[in-house]
Amino acid sequence: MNILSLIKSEMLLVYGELMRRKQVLFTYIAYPYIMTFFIIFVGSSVGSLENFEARVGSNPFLFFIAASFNFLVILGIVDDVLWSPIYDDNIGTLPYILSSNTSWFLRLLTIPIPRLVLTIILGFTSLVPLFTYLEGFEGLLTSLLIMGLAGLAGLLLSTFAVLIACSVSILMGESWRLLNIIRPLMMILLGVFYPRVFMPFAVRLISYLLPSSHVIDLMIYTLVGEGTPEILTVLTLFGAGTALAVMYGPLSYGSVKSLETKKLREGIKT
Amino acid sequence: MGREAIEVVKLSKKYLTKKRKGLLRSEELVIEALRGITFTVNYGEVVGLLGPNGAGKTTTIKILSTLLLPDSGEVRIGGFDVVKEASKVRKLIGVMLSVEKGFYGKLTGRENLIYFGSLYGLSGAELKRRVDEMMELVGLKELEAEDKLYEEYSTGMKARLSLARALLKDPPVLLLDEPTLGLDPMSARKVRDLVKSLAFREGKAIIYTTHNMFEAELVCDKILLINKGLIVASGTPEELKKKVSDIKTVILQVRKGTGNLNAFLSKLTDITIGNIVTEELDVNYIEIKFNVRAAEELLDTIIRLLTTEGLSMSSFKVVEPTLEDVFIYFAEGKTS
Repeated sequence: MNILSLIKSEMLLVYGELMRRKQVLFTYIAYPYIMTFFIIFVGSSVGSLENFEARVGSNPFLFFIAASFNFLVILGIVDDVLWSPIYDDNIGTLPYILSSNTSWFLRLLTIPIPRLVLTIILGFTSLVPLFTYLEGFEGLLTSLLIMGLAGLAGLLLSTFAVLIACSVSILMGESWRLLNIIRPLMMILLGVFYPRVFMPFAVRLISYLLPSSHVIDLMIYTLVGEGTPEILTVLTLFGAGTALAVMYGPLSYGSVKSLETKKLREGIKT
Repeated sequence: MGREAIEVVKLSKKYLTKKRKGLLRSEELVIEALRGITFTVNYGEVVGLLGPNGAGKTTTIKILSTLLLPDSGEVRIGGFDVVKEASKVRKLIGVMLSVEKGFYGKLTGRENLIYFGSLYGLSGAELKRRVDEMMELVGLKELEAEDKLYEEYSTGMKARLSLARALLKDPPVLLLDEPTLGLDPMSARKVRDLVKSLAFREGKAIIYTTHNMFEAELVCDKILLINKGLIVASGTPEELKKKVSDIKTVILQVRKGTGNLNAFLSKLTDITIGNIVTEELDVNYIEIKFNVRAAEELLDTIIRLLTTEGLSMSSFKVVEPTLEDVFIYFAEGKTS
């Protein structure tokens, strides 16, 4: 089957589930605001907004709403890829998915796309209003750029997320509890809230291996107000992220095949 | 018609499971789910897999559906090997594994079929047409349930939707695992009629697992009785009954309080096959039901036992065994 009709069918599934659970949709809209105000509230108790701006070089409201938005994008990818096989196993749809003519690998890659598109569009309810209010037309352009970069960061994470999801399932079995370990780890390593430049060297090395971390780095450049990054820096970061995402492709394909074989040997739960 | 759609040769499967011994220790157990079963299914034929729980029915269906790898043996569907050519086999099969689940709750019945239809490679107008046709065929249109959320479906509606999905890509082979489990009589009849007509009119090869003897007799052209991973008997329902034709069911009615019933029952066990079932019919009579071989020859013995124990008999009937008796007979470990 072609990838477009697969994305179309995944859209039907994700939007059907999301639009009919209004509280989930509301959470999606409110999440960046809640996270931003929570961080600023906690941060203000130990420091000041001015101090943050002086040290980081960015308005804390703008920095954290962008980081929270990014967090939501990454979370969507990680959750969709890691959660989907567990969810399908539990509700009994997995046997029908595996016995269809569609490649499981392709499906795992396309699963996060509908939610990613929706999350990016929801940037118009969080990033755009705040950036435009605080920085005018320039803020509007920055917020659109961040939305684009967040989308790219999400897409580049797909192959790595599939590799992690399948490897963890092969080695440790499937459990939603693993999500609770993988989520914060990813957030730290990707540098969403904590720019890579401040990371200890060893952690920074691991971070370099994550395709999306390079795009998030570029986003941090845009946010911290050092001016437009040099074209070479932009190309290097884009290139590194894309190259890593492509490199993880065959590995993640292999991991899906191994997981499929493991499941077929044990028998798919019906 | 008449060509082999499914060919299963010496199929075996073992499962490794753990027996827990306290909190930390466990012992590995090997369960032989299938022990070299062989059978064929032709196009236009409904073959029933019958057996008690844990007999190996679902394991067989899973292997045929390419959802479980066998340990040894060969399975070919439409001439393709289910292990080596799984993707080709998947194009030929429609699968129904569970009546109660297997769909997305927040999607309507129609949306669910569209979703799975896309995974099966259907698209555009063809997908829409097939979804409409299947909704009509299984009676969901008639029930006005097409645009209801799946989570609001009754069990009967879920079963119909599950059958609709199995038929969506018009596969020549259908694998149905207990398709009427938990259904009300009307829905069960609808599913049975559909299955019969799919084999008869469209020439589909169908494997149908069930516990229900009545249903198996109604739907299946051929029955495979499976127990502890082995096919213990096979044939048409009539042929199977003939295999136990020397066994007859005796139904006696005796008057209560006229003698020593317990002593009679105890002596009866020497000549009966299987369990003796007693039931109080009313305040005066008790019915005793049991199976014996060569009932006519034992008639004298039974009457003598009744007389010896002082029981007063009000009626005596000898009847042919039902398919259920055949099932119980073979499930108790006797092979044909």
